[in-house]
Amino acid sequence: MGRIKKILLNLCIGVVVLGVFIGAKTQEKIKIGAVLPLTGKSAQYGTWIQEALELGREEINAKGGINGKLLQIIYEDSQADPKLAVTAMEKLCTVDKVPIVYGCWASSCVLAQAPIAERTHTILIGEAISPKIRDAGDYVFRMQPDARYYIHKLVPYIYKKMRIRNVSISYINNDFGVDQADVFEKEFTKLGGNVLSKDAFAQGATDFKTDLIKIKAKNPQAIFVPGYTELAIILKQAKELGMTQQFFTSVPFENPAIVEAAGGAAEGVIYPHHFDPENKYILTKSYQEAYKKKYGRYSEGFAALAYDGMRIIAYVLKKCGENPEAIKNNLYNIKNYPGVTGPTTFDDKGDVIKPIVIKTVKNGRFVKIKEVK
Amino acid sequence: MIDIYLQLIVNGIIIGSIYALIASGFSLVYNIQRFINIAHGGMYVVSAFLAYYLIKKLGFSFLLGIPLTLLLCPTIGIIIDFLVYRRLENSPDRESILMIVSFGVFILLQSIVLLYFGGDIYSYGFPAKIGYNLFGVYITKIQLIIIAVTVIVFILLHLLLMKTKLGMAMRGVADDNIIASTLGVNVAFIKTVTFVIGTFLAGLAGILISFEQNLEYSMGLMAVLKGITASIIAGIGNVPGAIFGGLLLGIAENIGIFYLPSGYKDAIAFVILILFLFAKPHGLFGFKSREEIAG
Repeated sequence: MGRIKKILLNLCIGVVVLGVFIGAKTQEKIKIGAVLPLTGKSAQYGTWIQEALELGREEINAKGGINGKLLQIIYEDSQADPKLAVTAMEKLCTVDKVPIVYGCWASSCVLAQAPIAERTHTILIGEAISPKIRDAGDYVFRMQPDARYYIHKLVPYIYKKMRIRNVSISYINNDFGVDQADVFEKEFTKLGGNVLSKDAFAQGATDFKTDLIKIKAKNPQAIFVPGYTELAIILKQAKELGMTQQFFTSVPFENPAIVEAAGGAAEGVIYPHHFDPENKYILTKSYQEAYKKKYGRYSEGFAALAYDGMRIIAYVLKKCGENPEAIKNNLYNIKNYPGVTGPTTFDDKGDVIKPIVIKTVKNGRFVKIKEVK
Repeated sequence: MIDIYLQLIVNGIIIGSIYALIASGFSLVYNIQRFINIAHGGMYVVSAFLAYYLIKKLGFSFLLGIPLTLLLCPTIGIIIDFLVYRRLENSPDRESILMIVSFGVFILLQSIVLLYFGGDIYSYGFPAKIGYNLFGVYITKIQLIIIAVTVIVFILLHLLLMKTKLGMAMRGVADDNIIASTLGVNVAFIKTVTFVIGTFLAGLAGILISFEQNLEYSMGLMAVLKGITASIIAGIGNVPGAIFGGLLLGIAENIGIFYLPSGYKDAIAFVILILFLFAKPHGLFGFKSREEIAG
């Protein structure tokens, strides 16, 4: 290597090292991590959550940060892939040594991250619905309610308010669908309702005409269909086949792409959700306005959960500094913490207890029917 | 109860028509080119998204967007043929190599679609309307169009192969391309024409299914597998027979899942495939080749 090259190299290293020192001196920072699907198939959800976290972070820092330290979030992209989520989690916990990691958004990722959180004593706040997360560990919390929790709130509404007694269940054949169908059946029959048929369809299936004909032959009052984007075709084909039954589904239904693809057949479908963008909570209006100002549109439900999560994180960091044991104990003691998705409480397993909104589709929009506590 | 069975059969015919269109194009290419072209499923996806892009994003009318897609698809088919398949024409173990390469082309096409459109579902968002009620059977306009197109394609393919000089040349090449070429048939030209028709049919199937269901980048693999199954039921290489194979497969699947959980739909199709490969490898309308008869 030539002399000049060597000098240049040393100079570069010197500048970088100096830069790091100067950077570190200017303002003390408190870092937390976030693992989100920022690219790939689920990037939309990760981006929404990131937007809300950033909005929350800016508000916190504008008010002086956490006990004088500026809050910083280190984002890692998981692509909703458990393998990448594990790598990201490992990096945040062992290299960056953050006390808290927010996300991932996908259940499979949160379940894969949980053992690392336990091992490194890092708080993991997931935003995912799998019932398995409930028992994933002491350091694992979540902002989104358990998938079963939504059904526990939906079923009494169907049975008592709507007076529906006979249903058929058609569910997506994966962990989520099987569990939703089982919980629905158990709760509904416990109240005295009848489940006339219960059948699975394959994830990613595209033709449901015969599934629907089978249900039509049983003539139920209503149909419960936990699934994802398949709902669009199911609802459309049900209408084409002249079926008039009331449809119920679950949380993933709140996706404008489904309503658009269903071509009007999504009208009147009833489902449980965690967020009503026009709710009466005191923070909601200012949150929605700030969100709109920054991103040009109003916030949907996943972002709203993340915003509430960010505020709770700031609250516990202020109270306990970066001590994970203290943060953990304080999180377990969070009771009715106000937020844009309603008051948040964590139960003894770190699962969130919050109001559930029974919603429907009206003129192509997701609207509230009733909030159930 | 009778109307339920009729509805099942109609449901089977609708999806069977799509299988039939895929199978006929696939079978045609197999017949002339003598290899299993998995990339057929890739063209199915590409055409569905291409038509969607032209119509929904660029605002073309259906009357313009559909023919344009059906023109562009064969063009892409020819490009792939010249860039990839032709270069491997004389490689040893040609059939297996081309099949594997075509799988690579399939993944490439699918990945391009994924790159540009992402993993989301797309749909034309046609308003959902109650179908026409014919003798207790519900069927929509689009479903009727799908069936009608399949019938027309069947008739045209039959006429092309049996009544035209081009069709005779195609059959000649299918039978024995060396003899055909000594008799003055331009084999290279026939192979190109075959690709044009094959990709046209894949494109047609892709466009039609996107009107009936949603578009998803991953929809090609299962479609081409069903197409292959349908052509094996008919006897691989039997082009008009492939249409019947497709319809039969669609009906069998739908009647099957009336009694079994619907998750078994694909299993039903592939059990039929295995049964045919064991018991009737030449399919319903297939013949043994000369070499096999000679033993």
